[in-house]
Amino acid sequence: MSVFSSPIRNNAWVGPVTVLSVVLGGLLALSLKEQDRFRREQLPTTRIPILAAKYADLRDTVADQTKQIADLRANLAKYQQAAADESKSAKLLSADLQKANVLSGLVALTGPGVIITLRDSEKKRPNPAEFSPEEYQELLKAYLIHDQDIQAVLNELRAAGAEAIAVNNQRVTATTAVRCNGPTVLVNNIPTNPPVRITAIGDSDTLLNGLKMPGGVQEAYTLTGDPMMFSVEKVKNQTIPAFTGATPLRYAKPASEDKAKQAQTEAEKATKEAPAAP
Amino acid sequence: MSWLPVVGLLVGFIVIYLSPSTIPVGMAPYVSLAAVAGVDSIFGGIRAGIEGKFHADIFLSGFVMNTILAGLLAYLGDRIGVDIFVAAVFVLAGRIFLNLSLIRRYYLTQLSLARKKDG
Repeated sequence: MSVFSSPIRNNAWVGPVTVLSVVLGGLLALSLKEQDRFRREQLPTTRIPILAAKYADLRDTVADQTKQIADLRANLAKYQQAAADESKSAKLLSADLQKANVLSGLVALTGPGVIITLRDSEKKRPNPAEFSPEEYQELLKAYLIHDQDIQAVLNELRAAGAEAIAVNNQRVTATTAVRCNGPTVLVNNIPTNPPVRITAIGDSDTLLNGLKMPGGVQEAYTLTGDPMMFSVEKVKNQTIPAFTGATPLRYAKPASEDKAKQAQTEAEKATKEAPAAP
Repeated sequence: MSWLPVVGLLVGFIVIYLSPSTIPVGMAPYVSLAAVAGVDSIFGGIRAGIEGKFHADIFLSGFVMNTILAGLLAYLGDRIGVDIFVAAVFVLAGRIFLNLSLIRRYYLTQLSLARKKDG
């Protein structure tokens, strides 16, 4: 006779305990699931209530302000419409304004082009124990996407005639900076993380050739790094979002006519004197 | 018979773990504490059972009240800035260990009795 099947004085407890064990199992599963989620998202559990409140606040602020910007833009469009209806000269002005808006990135644009995706390398990293901390940091650089990698692609796209570019849906405008901010990269002052998806409108083939040419952007990954870090595909049709930030110019203002003329002559002179391309 | 609660625990765990149900982020610590209170009640119930002092009504009400109260008290403590959470974990863990040791002692005694009989 085994110990565990020996007659316990009163077996009435087994039923209720079993029922509540089911409930307890459920409770444990719930909390385990939640803690797993925190671990995945790397939130410290003890500070979750504070972080959650802050996050909600900030998200609401951003949503509010994005909506404000959209509202103001809509108003502006209405005024422009009204002005355009008024007279023929206003119509011409309105067409000019539309052109300027397109060029400055204030309008969403659609067209053919390419999509470039930059990813952090998934290759096995070197063993930190074998290197000094400085050396290891240096080695690790080859495995991660940095602001310079994004800038190199942007530069190449522009050189190949891209007409509109966005980095992870942040429109690249005349005042856009791409810079390193510790673990993240800021584009238009908005943090972004790998994988970085760069969308560009332009002639697909030209853009592709520009990126793939010898000594170009892609070669850096195929020759020395991890080819998986850089991928590019052609698209027939894609839409690039408008710039959603504020666009204040506090220092620059249009030059007066004679100053503009003078700058123009200087520029022409510089072009003439430029050394011929080899 | 004594393995039935273990099966129940596994069944409950698997069902909830595989279901898509989740709880709000802010509630997570309190649910965890409620789970610890539940563990305490279950071991308390087993101990009462093997001591022959088991009463279903005391056990059931104890389980429900303890889990809910533990969560609520910890929440209240957080709101008024007193760390009741830590106090609750301290008390509950102490009781769990005490009950566990009594359950272990009981089964060890049974085992040695059975051996004596065989010998």
